[in-house]
Amino acid sequence: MSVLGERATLDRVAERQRDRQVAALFDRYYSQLRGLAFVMLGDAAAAEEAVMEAFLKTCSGWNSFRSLEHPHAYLRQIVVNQCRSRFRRQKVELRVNELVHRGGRTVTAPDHEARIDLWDAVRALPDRQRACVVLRYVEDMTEVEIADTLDCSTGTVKSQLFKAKAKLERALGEGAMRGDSDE
Amino acid sequence: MSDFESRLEATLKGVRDEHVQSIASEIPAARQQVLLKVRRRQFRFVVTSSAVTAAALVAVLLVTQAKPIVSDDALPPASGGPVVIATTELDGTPVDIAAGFGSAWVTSRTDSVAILSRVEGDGSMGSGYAGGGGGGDLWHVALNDEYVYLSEANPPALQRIDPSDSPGDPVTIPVDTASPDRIAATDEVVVYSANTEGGTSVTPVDAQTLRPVGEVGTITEGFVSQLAADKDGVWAILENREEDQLWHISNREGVADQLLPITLSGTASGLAIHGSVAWIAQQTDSTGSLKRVDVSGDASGQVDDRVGGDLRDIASGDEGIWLLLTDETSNAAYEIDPQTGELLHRIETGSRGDGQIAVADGYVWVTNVEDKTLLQIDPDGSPTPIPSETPTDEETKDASPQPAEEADCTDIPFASLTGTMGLGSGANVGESLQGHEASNVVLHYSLSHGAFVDVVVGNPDYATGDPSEAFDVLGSEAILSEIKDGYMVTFGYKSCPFALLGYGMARAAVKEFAADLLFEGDPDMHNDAWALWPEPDPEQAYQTCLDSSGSDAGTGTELDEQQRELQARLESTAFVNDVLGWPGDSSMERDKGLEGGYGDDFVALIVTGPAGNRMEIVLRETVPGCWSVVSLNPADEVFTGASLSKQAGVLHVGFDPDSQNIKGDLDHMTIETASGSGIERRRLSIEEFKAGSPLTVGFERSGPSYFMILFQDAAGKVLNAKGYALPSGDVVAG
Repeated sequence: MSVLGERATLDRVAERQRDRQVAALFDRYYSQLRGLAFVMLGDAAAAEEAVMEAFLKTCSGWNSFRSLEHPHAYLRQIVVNQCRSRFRRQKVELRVNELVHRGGRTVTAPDHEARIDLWDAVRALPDRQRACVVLRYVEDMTEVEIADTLDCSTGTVKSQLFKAKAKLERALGEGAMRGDSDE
Repeated sequence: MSDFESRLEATLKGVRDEHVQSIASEIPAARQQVLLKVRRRQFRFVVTSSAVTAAALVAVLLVTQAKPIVSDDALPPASGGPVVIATTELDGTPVDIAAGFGSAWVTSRTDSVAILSRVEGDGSMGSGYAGGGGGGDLWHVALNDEYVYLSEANPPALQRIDPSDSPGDPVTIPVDTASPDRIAATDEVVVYSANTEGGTSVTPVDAQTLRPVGEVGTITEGFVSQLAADKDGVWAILENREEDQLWHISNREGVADQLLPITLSGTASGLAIHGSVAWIAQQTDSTGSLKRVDVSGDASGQVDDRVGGDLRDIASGDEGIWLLLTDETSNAAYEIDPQTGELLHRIETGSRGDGQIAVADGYVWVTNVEDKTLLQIDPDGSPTPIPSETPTDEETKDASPQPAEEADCTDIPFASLTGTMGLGSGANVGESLQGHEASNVVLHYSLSHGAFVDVVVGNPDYATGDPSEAFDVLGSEAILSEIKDGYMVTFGYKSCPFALLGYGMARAAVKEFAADLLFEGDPDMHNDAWALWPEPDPEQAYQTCLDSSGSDAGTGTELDEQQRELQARLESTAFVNDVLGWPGDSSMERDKGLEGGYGDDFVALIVTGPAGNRMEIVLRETVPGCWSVVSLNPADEVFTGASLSKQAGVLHVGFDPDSQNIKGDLDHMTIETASGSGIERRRLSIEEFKAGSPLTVGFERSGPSYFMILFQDAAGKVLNAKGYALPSGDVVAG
């Protein structure tokens, strides 16, 4: 076999190996990341695109990615960034709100009305505040971990969470903040 | 966690869990989609790289062979405008920046370490300072006239660095508060904010000892978002749920001696003090705005200017007031008039994303988080002489990295070659091609995924007279070697897009190659073959051909039509004889008895090369004197029992995957088409496929196209890919 032939064979072997690893990575984290993206975006199609893009970005830098100690954290960071940029660019929230107003809510169970209100309020937050809230309360991340993910200081995370909770409080009323269960 | 937070958590997790449950059935398909896209993206990367190479080659040609075209974009900036004079790649993601001591001081971090980098005004990288014992968090940086100060979150500490003692040992003072964050310094005090469980603390410390002096206290109903120093102290923006405030912390006592109520639009993303005015960059979720506050009196002088985009940061110095703004397409630094706020200058600073800006010592410095770069900008620009006249030919040659004096591409428009196409998919394809004298060369890259990249390098003028001598197409050797999957090279002959040689060949003489050419089969079977260089208007193509080949090496000596036609024919004959080693002449009709043959209408041959490689080439003289490659089946594309035929709008292709060493359970295949350059592809369908059976594909496009077949197993895994050229417009037209 020529040198070029050997190279091509090695390339194919490497490609197959990468495919297997990507598939394994996908099986392990895809659902979780989809859930995270959906909570942030409120749009199933947009969430799918964001997660898909995260995997593609990951694979485009596969050699460096596979040496990472915490691949999930890396993927999650890309997903969050995707969601944030998608939010800014496309104003997903507007489309979501339109859907909601047309009765196209993704979660439609009647007894979930209060929950939807809260989720709507979260999705109405500015993108960084929303990211902080989702990472804190969905992913159970600490402020330091959130800061790592969002590439900002813990002080910024703290302030964003503070502001976010204040906004949610205003949006939902004082009763919500006190934990009144009136629903 | 409060009740509200518990409820928030339960709600969001509930939404997530329901969604995850609802998508369970989609996962296998999504996985497959990801794998396919990964491969396509890799392919696009290669194509893009090659396209960039092509662009570079064309650019070289423009420099070497044509008069330079100076576009508006290429014009040097007017004297006095800002100019990027250096770009430095940072070791990590930039966090903060300060400027002073003739340098930019940038804190950045990687996965494992936080770093303070000093970039000198001459663009050199000074010493780096690792923070936090390799794992610490080094956040913000501030300067006064003596020292550089750092806030470090983990472990909580302040650092003081003597810039004259580089790299030196920083003085590190642990602090009681948790997570020191923002920091600002005057010559007397350093003020830092810190995040505590109870809120945000603001602490002034002595600039020399870093020991606390005075006390501002802890803010429980808000946080400090920005700090900036003036000569008398440090200004702090306090963002509060009820009321935003601007504080001044005095040098003398380390206490807040001034408090101005302000109303922020969104969050403060930057603060700069210029004279008696505080400039606050504000950012709502969608819009940036600039607030001017007269700090000499009360806050009644607040003026907000909406600037649009994302306002990232603001900085002031002797160089003026500068903003960092992200608009729709990029980041840009703007200089504004300190009196009116009017935009004075704009300069792009990289891709969209977060970043910060600092000014001092005659430079503006901008970090870009996306690019992980630091830009050094001369705000006044450097007067660049604008060329007063077009460079002479001699000057142009001097600028060429290649032997431009041998080049002459003025006799044929490149546009006429852009439709050049070929077919084949590369695997184990050898390197190089031997050439013959030609006016234009098209490097045609065939990638393993069955797609193609054409590179027109044009007019290498490698008329060596010895076709066994390897040619070097304007220094493209290096580029060729970068193509991993192999390539084909086509070249035009005497200005006419003409012939193809070389596929799967080692660097060997054309004549040696030609000697191995064997003719097989009945040339008539190729009557239905198609031109790879379709000319939409044969008359025009003919004229183009004559116009170019009829001139005498670009000297403008025109031959009459008869002479031109004769010359073109002779040249064609010479090519066939010399390069292909063909035993005929131009007047010879198709002769099935010969091993090879050609006529006025077409030439067909099938090549059997070393190691069993096999190639089929069909050439056609589309207009007198202009030959085109009609079809080609390169080495690894052999159709065993293959059939090619066409009817109006339909191409039938039959092949046996077993003969192509395609293993696996071939239950599916994906057909893709590409038009034009082959970069934009359009999927047609996914068909059931049985090995050895013919495939019928319909076409809508009238232009030249490719199609690609991806062989997949039952799970959708792509086992191999094959690409071929589609019939050109005449086929579709019937």
